[in-house]
Formats: sequence, C-alpha cells, structure tokens
Amino acid sequence: MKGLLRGLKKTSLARIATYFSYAHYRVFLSVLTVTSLMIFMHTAILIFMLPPPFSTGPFLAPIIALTSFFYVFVIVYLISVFTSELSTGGALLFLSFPLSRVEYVFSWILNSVVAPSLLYLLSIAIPVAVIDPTLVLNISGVEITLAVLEMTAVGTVIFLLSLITKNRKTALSAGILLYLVVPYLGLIAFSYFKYSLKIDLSNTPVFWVYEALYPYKAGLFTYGSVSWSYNLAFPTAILIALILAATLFYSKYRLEVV
Amino acid sequence: MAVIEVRDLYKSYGKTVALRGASFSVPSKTVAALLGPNGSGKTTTLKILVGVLKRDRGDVKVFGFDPWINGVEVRERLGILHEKPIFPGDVKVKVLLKYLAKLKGYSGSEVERVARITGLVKYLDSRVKSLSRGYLQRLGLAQALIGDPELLLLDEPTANLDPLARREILRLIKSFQKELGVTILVSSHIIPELEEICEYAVFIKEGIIVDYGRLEDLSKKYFTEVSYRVVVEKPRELASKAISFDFVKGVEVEENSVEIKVKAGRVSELADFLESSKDTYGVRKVEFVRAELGDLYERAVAGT
Ligand SMILES: Nc1ncnc2c1ncn2[C@@H]1O[C@H](COP(=O)(O)OP(=O)(O)OP(=O)(O)O)[C@@H](O)[C@H]1O
Ligand SMILES: [Mg+2]
Repeated sequence: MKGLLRGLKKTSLARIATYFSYAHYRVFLSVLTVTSLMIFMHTAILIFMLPPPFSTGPFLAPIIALTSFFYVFVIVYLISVFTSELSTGGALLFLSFPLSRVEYVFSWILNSVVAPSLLYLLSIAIPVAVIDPTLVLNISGVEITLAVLEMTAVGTVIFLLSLITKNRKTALSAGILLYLVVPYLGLIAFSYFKYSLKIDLSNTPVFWVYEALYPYKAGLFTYGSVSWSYNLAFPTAILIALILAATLFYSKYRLEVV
Repeated sequence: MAVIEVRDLYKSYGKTVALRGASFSVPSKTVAALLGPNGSGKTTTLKILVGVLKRDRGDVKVFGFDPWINGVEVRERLGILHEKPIFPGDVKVKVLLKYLAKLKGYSGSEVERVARITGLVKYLDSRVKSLSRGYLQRLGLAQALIGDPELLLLDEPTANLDPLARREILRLIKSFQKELGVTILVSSHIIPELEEICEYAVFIKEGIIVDYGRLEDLSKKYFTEVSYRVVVEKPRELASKAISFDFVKGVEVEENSVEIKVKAGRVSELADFLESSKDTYGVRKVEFVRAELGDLYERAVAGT
C-alpha cells in the first residue's frame, strides 16, 4: 500500500499537480480577487442592464466585450510571470528537480491560460444560469463557449511566443496586439470591405484564420448568414490542439533554461 | 562503476564555444573537484549533467541515463546547487522546500531534516528574500540535499561568501561526504580550498578536459608534493627519522600516526624508506592524504 502511494506520488500527473499548485499558490490571491470582481460585475450588468428574457441571438456580446477586454490582462500578466520565471532562475530551480520540461510547461499553460479562461467561463455562466438556466443550455451557452475558446486560443498563441523568446516584453506586446488590437482592427477591416467596398471576405483564407483565432467575434460578424451553433467552435478547438502540440514539442526537444 | 560518464562533449552558445570535446568520468562515492579558470565551461558541464541544457554533440550518462532525455530519472537521484542560484523571493523558506521535496516524493519531515543539516531551522518561516547571502547559500545546499541524493553537483558553493561562511560551507560539504557517503562533483576556480575535501579532480581549460583522475595517481603522474598519513606504533620515532631526509618537506605527529609531506616527485623514496623500516617503527598502514592541488593543476595544464 505504501509502495503504491509512493508510486502514485511519482507519476507525471502528481508532479504536474505539485508544480501547478506551487505556481498557482503564488498568484492565487490576485486571481481570486479578479474572479470575484468578474462574478460581481457580470451579475450586476445582467440584472440591471440587460434583463431577460432575451431568448434569441448573442445577447451577451456587450457584456463579454466589456469585461473580457479587462480580464485578458490577467492571462497576459500570468504569462509574463512565466517568462520572468524562465529567464531569472525559478525555472532552473524546479527543472533541476524530478519535473520534466513538458510537465513544467504544461503546468504553466494550465496556470496562465486554461485556469483563468475557465474562471471567466464560470464567472459569466453562473450568473446567467441563476437568472435563467435554460439560457445556458442553448443560445448563450454557444456564446460563452465561443468567447472562452477565443480567450484560450489567443492565450496559447501568446504563451508559445513567450516560451520561445523567454521575454516578458514579448508576452506583453503580443498580449496587447493579439487580444486588443488585431481582433478589432480585423472586424473594422472586414466591415469596411463588406459594406463600403461590397467585397465579402468571409470565404477567404484571411477570414478563416481570423475565424479560428477569434470565433466569437467572427461569429458576431457573420451572425444571420451562418447558423449560430456549437459548430462554430470546431476550427478553434483544432487550432488550440495544434498550438498545444507545438508548445509541448518545443518544450521536449528545444527548451533550455540557464 | 562510474556515476558520471562524459564522452566528447560539445556545446556552444551561438558563436561562443563553451565545450569542445570534453571527456571525463567520476566514480561512485567519490568527492571530485571540477577545476578550471573563469569561462572554462564548468557551469555549462554541470547544467548538461542535470539535463537543463542540451548538448550539441557527444555522450553524457548520469547513473547510466541520458539526462536530457531521462531527466526525471536522473534528477530523482541527484541534487544540484547552481552557481548564483536565484530563488523566488516572495515565498517562505519552508513552503518552497516543501514543494521541492514533494516533487521528489517527500513530505515535511524531509524539509526539517535538510534544514537541520544546513542550519536553516531558525529561518524556515522567513521569506526567501529576507535571507542573507550566506543563508541563501545554505538554502541552496538544503534544496540540493532533499531526498538524500546519491550524487551532489555543487557549482562554486563558496562564491561570494565571507571567509567565515566559506569555511562553514566547506565544513558542511566535508561532513556530507563523511556521513552521507554520496558522490560529489564540486566546481571551483579557487583551487586550494578544495584541497582539503576532494580526492579526485577533473581539470578543465577552454572547454577541454586536460586530465582527470584520483589525486594520488595524478600527483604521481605530474610529480607534485603529496602528503601521506602513516599509521604507526612509534609515531615520534618515525617522525624524527623522517624529517632528517632530504625528500621530506615536513612531518606532523598525531596520536598514532604521522603525516609526512613529500617533495615533488620523490614519493618512491618515501616508499623505499617505509618498506625498509617497516618493522623498526611498526608501520601499520600508509594512506594518501592530499596533493598540492594548485601545483597539480598548473602542471597538468602546462602539459597541454
Ligand atoms: N547563457 C550563455 N550565453 C552565452 N554564452 C555563455 C552563456 N553561459 C556561458 N557562456 C559562455 O560559455 C563559456 C563557458 O562558460 P561557463 O559559465 O560554463 O564557464 P565557467 O567555467 O562556469 O566559468 P566561471 O568560473 O566564471 O563560472 C564562457 O565563454 C561564457 O562566456
Ligand atoms: Mg561557472
């Protein structure tokens, strides 16, 4: 029995859990504060500004646009903590222990991208579910899913760039660019082409890439002409899987810490 | 069996070549010094051994494993103190050590054990950033000792310490060797300070291993001053006879032994003398104590 316990303690999963809890322990209070704030904001906005029933269409868009605009800074901040750990010795300390590079990097993706995205999901899904449970099951379920996948997909791209460069500035500038500049510039450009120049770009590769990275904003753009369903999430899910694979591959074969 | 085996190791950082065909080995339960001037590749070698740097070419085996590929297996059995280690400052010493111990499958009692060995008990509840340099170095040793590793890698463990702290750290290292029976590879560019604690040396210069081996063998090869301890029934008599010889540089009488320092290259004369007068003084045992490490280093390097 004791041997079994010792064996369990030594699995990859146990090591990931240990490192994750250490990395998370260090940022726990700030993440908790921001998440509580998010839940409070989402509830307040839902109650006072957008009273249900809104049963058709992506009615959460204004709320999500507003709060996610600020919330992505949590992800960017956490990734920048990761880059400073990589470049200033924290990574060297832990990677000198029985923790593989893949386990280490995976723990940090969980900590800086996946966990905050899930917390955001909960922070909006819970208030919506409390107000009207049926909403979560259909129309706003799709909305929340797309919005959170978008957050995750962009987060993994920023994470990979930061991992390769080990540079805090890369994390910050890629964060601002990919979360706050590119998606809105894209929307403006696509609208300009569509309404002023009468050129529909939604069947071009540029738009497909945009759609994979920003499924929620692309979905809003094509809303009405494309059916609003969970199918919109597939390209993004595949994109996330590819970026994750690239990240883990890089960690296994290339990542050196000094 | 060799704990560390390195064959024809190459490593560059961009245009800087740090290691150019380094080869050496360290046998089990040996305290080995990795000696070389600044920039000769000591730190690079140690980081490759622990599996955080990837070699460009060559073979590296630690416990028979490739540390870059089977890092977890290797690191379960070793502890390393890095050069200028940086620890996260905003956590308590105890908390940091506990997470590290957990990665090796150990609990809080292991943290207490290593804190006791390194004299950190009083500081377990302090934040890492409040520790002085000397205590940070102890923290570095403490984390390296977690889980009673079979191999300790120490990169300039006494760098940036005042003389008192330096002596204390060296005393600690010496006690690990005696009490824990581990294999130790300790790097330094301050050669004499390791003379007291090591029995094996690896000399590195500009990324090449100039020579390596047991000090006793190396000092014979390079004709340097050496000291032997002769366990004997009549230490006083032996000492007064020995000091009269031209090849003896000095003697030191202990309770039941004499430490004899022999001039460079004249060990065979001591051997002849002891052999011929074995019964006169009741010689029980002759053991190698130390070699003039600095001298040895210079001769080994000069020979290249
Ligand atoms: N991260 C790095 N980037 C670029 N060059 C490096 C890096 N680390 C080491 N070097 C270079 O590689 C060579 C070997 O360095 P290394 O740190 O291994 O030497 P060392 O023997 O440990 O020196 P010291 O006694 O100063 O600690 C040096 O020329 C050094 O400048
Ligand atoms: Mg060094």
